[in-house]
Amino acid sequence: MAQLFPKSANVHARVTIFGLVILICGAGWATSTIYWSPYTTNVDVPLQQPIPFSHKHHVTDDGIDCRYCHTSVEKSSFAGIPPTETCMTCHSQLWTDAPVLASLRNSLATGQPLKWIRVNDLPDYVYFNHSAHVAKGIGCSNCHGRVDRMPLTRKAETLYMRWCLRCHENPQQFIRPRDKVFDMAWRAPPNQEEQGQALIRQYHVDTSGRLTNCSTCHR
Amino acid sequence: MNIINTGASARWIYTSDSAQPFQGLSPSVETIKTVCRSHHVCHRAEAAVLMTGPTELSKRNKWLGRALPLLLSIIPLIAACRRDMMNQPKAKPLSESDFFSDQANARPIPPHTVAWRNARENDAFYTGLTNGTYITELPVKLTPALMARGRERFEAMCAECHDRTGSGNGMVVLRGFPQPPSYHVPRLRNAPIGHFFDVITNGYGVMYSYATRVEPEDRWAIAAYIRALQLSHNANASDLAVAEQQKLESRK
Ligand code: HEC
Ligand code: HEC
Ligand code: HEC
Ligand code: HEC
Ligand code: HEC
Ligand code: HEC
Repeated sequence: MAQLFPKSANVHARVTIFGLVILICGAGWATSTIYWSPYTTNVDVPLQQPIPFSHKHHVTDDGIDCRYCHTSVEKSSFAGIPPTETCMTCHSQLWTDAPVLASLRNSLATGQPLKWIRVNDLPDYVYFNHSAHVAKGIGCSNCHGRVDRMPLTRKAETLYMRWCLRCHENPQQFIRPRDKVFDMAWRAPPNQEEQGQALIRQYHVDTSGRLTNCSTCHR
Repeated sequence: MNIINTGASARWIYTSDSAQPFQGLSPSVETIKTVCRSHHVCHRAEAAVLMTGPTELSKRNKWLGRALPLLLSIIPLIAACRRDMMNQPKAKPLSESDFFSDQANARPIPPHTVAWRNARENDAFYTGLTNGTYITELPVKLTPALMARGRERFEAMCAECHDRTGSGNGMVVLRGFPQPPSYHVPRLRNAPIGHFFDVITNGYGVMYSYATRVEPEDRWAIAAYIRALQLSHNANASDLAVAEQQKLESRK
């Protein structure tokens, strides 16, 4: 009987098998790369805002405290975005004809609020609370990065669940003294592990496991 | 979490923390009702801001980015469910509304209502005045904690212009804002403490009111701290305790 498969079938079989493996791995790799790339996570991607507001100018160059504008960050779940009136506190006198601020003046004249685009946007099925974190010594820069160096505001972290959990499982690696919460330049000292443990006791951080309970964040 | 029904045709107003609902409040009721606790629920109309979702462009990016891996794993249906859960039809603080004409879910305070914190139970405490004249005594107890609070708030809310010593050379002034008077001029040294409270509450000249940004308790804390700043620039060595004076002498 004649050979059913020509000799080249061996090569074809190998190429197909290896090709398939490579294809599957490649697809997996491509998927995860896209999933973790700024394309999906929006990390470090500045958005088109109604006014190109610069934290770098206002915080670093003009020395304005976070709480001057984000007034409710210590008291409420919501950090707060400054109303038009807050900007006008200074811009009624400064940069009064600047074209970049035209929509600000327009908002004041018409009473129509400015529409800022959310940079950090959790899905609605997640509960988050600023005051709970600020009160326990978690600083703005832990979650928002060096906002004071951002000419345009951008997201510093993915805000994925695994990112929240990384800290909720080991808060001692991140916690800092309360008076350093607004200090953008704070860095963990070499003895962070010990200091963190001490602060956890001092601030009565819940170590019963509630922090990693699903219902803490999905309520 | 509360879901608040504002009336027959209105949808819900959703608040995430301690806000009290506007329950069956009739505008004809003249008495002052205690309505809202948290600032973001009852924003003043001109003070409102909105936060919307990502722009169309980044929305599309996000959609593509999220959907692509799912498409690859051949469960495209999940993509649809996921978006519904991510943007639920509820209002969050300062979120955008397709119901109200100004597009803000944060509503202005209805007429004849006062936020419970602003209820004028104790006039001197909320206005700094008794019978139309500024009070000269701090209406709260002076404690080290109050001073520390005053210092923290002063440096966060006032030092931008008045600078940390109160001389009026803050960073924003150096960038062109009109210069405020120094706190260390005789007129302000002799001003009653109620005046400082009043300036924070109602503004003064080109300085805006800080009533929506600084709570009455904090205004008194700041006023007390300003007094301490003034004293720090207007003290004699003989005002010190004897032990401190000796320490000073030994430094010389
Ligand atoms: C002069 C007012 C002002 C000051 C001071 C200020 N911010 Fe902001 N901040 C804004 C405005 C306006 C926005 C919205 C526009 C934007 O996203 O750029 C914003 C947005 C943000 C956002 C992104 C919010 C979102 O959409 O998710 C973060 C995070 C933030 N600020 C953190 C800080 C921190 C931390 C500080 C202190 C170091 C600070 N801000 C100081 C005005 C201010
Ligand atoms: C406490 C005072 C203060 C407040 C409040 C304030 N600004 Fe400014 N802003 C300044 C000063 C001072 C400058 C000039 C910066 C410089 O020259 O370095 C400035 C500059 C700007 C500029 C142009 C320069 C740049 O940064 O590119 C924009 C745009 C601007 N501000 C937007 C805003 C908006 C929007 C708000 C409200 C959220 C706001 N500012 C609130 C003080 C303030
Ligand atoms: C534990 C992490 C964490 C810390 C600490 C934190 N933030 Fe946030 N911040 C978030 C998340 C997550 C969001 C998005 C919330 C949402 O989408 O509902 C956010 C949103 C914001 C917003 C947009 C308005 C809002 O509340 O949704 C501002 C402004 C802001 N943060 C400022 C600050 C400032 C200022 C500090 C420091 C005092 C701070 N944040 C500390 C995680 C954090
Ligand atoms: C850098 C550390 C850190 C990160 C990141 C972090 N958390 Fe937390 N979280 C804490 C600490 C510390 C507490 C306080 C625990 C306590 O009160 O005992 C807390 C408490 C909470 C609480 C409980 C509030 C309450 O009502 O008691 C919630 C909800 C929460 N976090 C949600 C989140 C979510 C959602 C994220 C991610 C977007 C996140 N956290 C990211 C450290 C963190
Ligand atoms: C510290 C807060 C926190 C805790 C605790 C937590 N989650 Fe989440 N979860 C999140 C956040 C934040 C997201 C949104 C991530 C994103 O943006 O895709 C999320 C998303 C999810 C999703 C949707 C996943 C996706 O990618 O679409 C599921 C399902 C989920 N969580 C289940 C759970 C379960 C089950 C538990 C308990 C074992 C739990 N979560 C505990 C914060 C938390
Ligand atoms: C944006 C800059 C700015 C900020 C921030 C600011 N002020 Fe002023 N302040 C001024 C200016 C300018 C004047 C002078 C107003 C005038 O004479 O027209 C002034 C005047 C004053 C006066 C003197 C009033 C008088 O009798 O002459 C006091 C007291 C005062 N401010 C207190 C405060 C306190 C307290 C805060 C913080 C809660 C504060 N200011 C924040 C700019 C500012």
